[in-house]
Amino acid sequence: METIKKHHKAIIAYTIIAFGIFALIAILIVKPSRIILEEAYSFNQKPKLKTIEFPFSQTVNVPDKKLSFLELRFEDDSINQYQYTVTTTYKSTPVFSHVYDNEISNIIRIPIDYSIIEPIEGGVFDIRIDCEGTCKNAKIELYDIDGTPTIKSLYGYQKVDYGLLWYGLFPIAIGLTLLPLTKRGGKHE
Amino acid sequence: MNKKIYKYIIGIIVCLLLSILTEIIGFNFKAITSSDEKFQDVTFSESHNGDETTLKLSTDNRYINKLIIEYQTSKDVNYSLNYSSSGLFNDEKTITFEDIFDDSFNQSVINLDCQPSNAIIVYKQSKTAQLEIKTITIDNSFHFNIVRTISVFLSFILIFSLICFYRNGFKTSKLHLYFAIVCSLLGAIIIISQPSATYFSFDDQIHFQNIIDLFHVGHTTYSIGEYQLIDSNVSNSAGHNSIDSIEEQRAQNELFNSGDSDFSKNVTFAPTYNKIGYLPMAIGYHLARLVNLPFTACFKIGKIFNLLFYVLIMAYAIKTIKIGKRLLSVIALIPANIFLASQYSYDPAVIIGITVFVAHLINLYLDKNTKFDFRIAVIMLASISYACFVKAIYVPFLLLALLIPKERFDSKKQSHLVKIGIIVVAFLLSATFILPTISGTMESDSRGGNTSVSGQLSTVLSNPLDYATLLGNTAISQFSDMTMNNFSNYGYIVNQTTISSTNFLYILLILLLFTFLTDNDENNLIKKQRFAILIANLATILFIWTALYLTFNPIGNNTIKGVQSRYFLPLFFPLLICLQPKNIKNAIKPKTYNAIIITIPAIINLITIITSILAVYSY
Repeated sequence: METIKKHHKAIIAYTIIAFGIFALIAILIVKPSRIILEEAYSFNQKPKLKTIEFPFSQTVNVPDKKLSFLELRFEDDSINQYQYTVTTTYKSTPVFSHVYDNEISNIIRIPIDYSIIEPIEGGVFDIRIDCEGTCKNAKIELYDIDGTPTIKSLYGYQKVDYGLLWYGLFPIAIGLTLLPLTKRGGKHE
Repeated sequence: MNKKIYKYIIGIIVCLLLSILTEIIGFNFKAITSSDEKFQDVTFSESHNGDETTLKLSTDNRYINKLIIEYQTSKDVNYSLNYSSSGLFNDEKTITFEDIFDDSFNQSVINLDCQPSNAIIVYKQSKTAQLEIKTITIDNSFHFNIVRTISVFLSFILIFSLICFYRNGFKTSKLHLYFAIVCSLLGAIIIISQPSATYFSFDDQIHFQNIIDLFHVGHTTYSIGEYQLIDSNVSNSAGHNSIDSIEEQRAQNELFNSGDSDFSKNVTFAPTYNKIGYLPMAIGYHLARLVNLPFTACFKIGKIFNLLFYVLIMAYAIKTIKIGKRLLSVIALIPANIFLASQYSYDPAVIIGITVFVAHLINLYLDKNTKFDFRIAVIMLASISYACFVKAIYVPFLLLALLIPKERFDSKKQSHLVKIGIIVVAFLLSATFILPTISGTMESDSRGGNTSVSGQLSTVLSNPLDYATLLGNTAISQFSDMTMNNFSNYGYIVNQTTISSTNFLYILLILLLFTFLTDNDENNLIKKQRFAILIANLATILFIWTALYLTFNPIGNNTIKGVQSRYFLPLFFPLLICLQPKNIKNAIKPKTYNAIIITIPAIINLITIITSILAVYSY
């Protein structure tokens, strides 16, 4: 007991460091992954051009609690002259279906209803856009633009979340900062 | 000692009796003294003009305390009540009262407390709403309003406390206690008199949902109150924007407390570090849930825990800091600070985190007897980390620790090792927002429109001069709004006219300026330290504007939207303390000085809370 009282500051500092090391090891062994929902371009990517024809179908991974909706945006308003249907399904269960007819906005917002699905590792949604009637020859062009984009598309993928290493590094840094203060130093030089 | 306690007990009892008397005789005077019937029907005639319906009420210049409209509607319908009322010297003025026939209820109660004439109700008839007005009644009966009574009681306690403080000398050494008592009472009045609903403070519906989910694990069913108030539903929630009487508040409470909703979800326990700012509110809310208190009680208890946390930590900072106690007390009693501490908001977490860190930092800069020991290091690192976990943009303040004089350490080696550690911690804290920004994985806020962090960053980096010009112009042009709004900022609370009345705003501003100039005893910060604190403030200001430009503005936007004045609240004290002049001598007696800086904000806050919250929502 006396020893603990005498060295309690060091015990606290080492405990914090130990927690950080444990967290680091656990993360590096377990390699927890997160579902990342990312834009079609990022700062480092070069521009890509993608021309899409109807029907347009894309599989999107949606992380749990990450979003309350998905959003698709189209290049211009020409799409709004036509009738088109957007459906999302989860494990073959339709969770969203809407017919858009002469819409004003070129943004489609697709809600994710977590009361219907059970996101265990995130939800995998199939988004399908069917265009009826004369719009069969219409195109949606998706641009990855390094600068000022006019279009975004959303896609998801799974990757190891190395950002979680922060949970280990931060306590180690705090503990190491406190460690010199646990010893009695010599006289100030 | 016993005599003092007896005096306090008697004082509290007197306050209680006064509040009961005020309720019975003050607020119900006309109900008691009038011989007219307490409940009177109001006949009305209906006319239509297109889709607009007008109901002309036959009020016959009768006195009306409360006007009760019974209705049925399948959708919310906005309406306005227009009437004339005699003011001073019988001057007739026309008053328009906007309200909503809420589809969740069947009664709208309006507090008039006047003799209206030419009263008409106007609304737009909608085919989908199927609105039917059933009866309109005058209610002049006696109402013992417990919420109002408690609020008035706390107001009397506040005044009594101020008197006791004065009689006890308003000592500088007890400023932290004066602040704690005043702030607790003001915050309690806000919490008690405000409806148990969200959409009163900035993003409180989002914060409330995060608090609900923080300790819910697995399959969770939301209660009706919880489901109504979360982000996705709050705009359509029962009583949203329509509560303006105690009767309507009670109806809303009854609905919210009526059990579980049909909504359930699976929640995995994966708290991120930025949720730490929710802990006080979440602990309060979930502890109350654990003992099966009604939803509205849990809702208020969560807010009370947030308020108490703010009060305790800020009182600690005021007690700890060796200079600028009065300046800090005035800042801590700014209306925006008290309001946010009484809401579901994590801004108080940032404010107290930065303030405690700066308090210890200044002590280390100035006081040769203060050592940078283990205890102070834990407090400083914990406080700055707590603030930066919530909003990492305040990390520049951590680097101020590098200027702690080496004499505060036991040895040069210790000083170097600790400062290297501080640099590493600062890097890790800033990595939480810099790395996602650079890698393009930071999400933008779609509420700002066609937003994209990586796209915007690319624009900024390819046009640095344009961005610098935009930033400079915006920061300078909005400087007064970003500072002055905090003296009148009560979120989305209606009836802002009282709060933002020029007199109150400028009184508080003058008080702050007065304290800034005169509370400079022993402010011996050297130029290097003042300059460093100023740079930390400016760097944080730069981060605030830039972070919002990247996340909340369409790419290439030529204005910076989304920045709110509350983001600058943590900077008030550090900025003012580093700019404080040393040359003005303060000859005011400490008792008088302390009385001024505590009493004026207390009274101004009390008046605005009573007129803008209690009188609007709980009469």
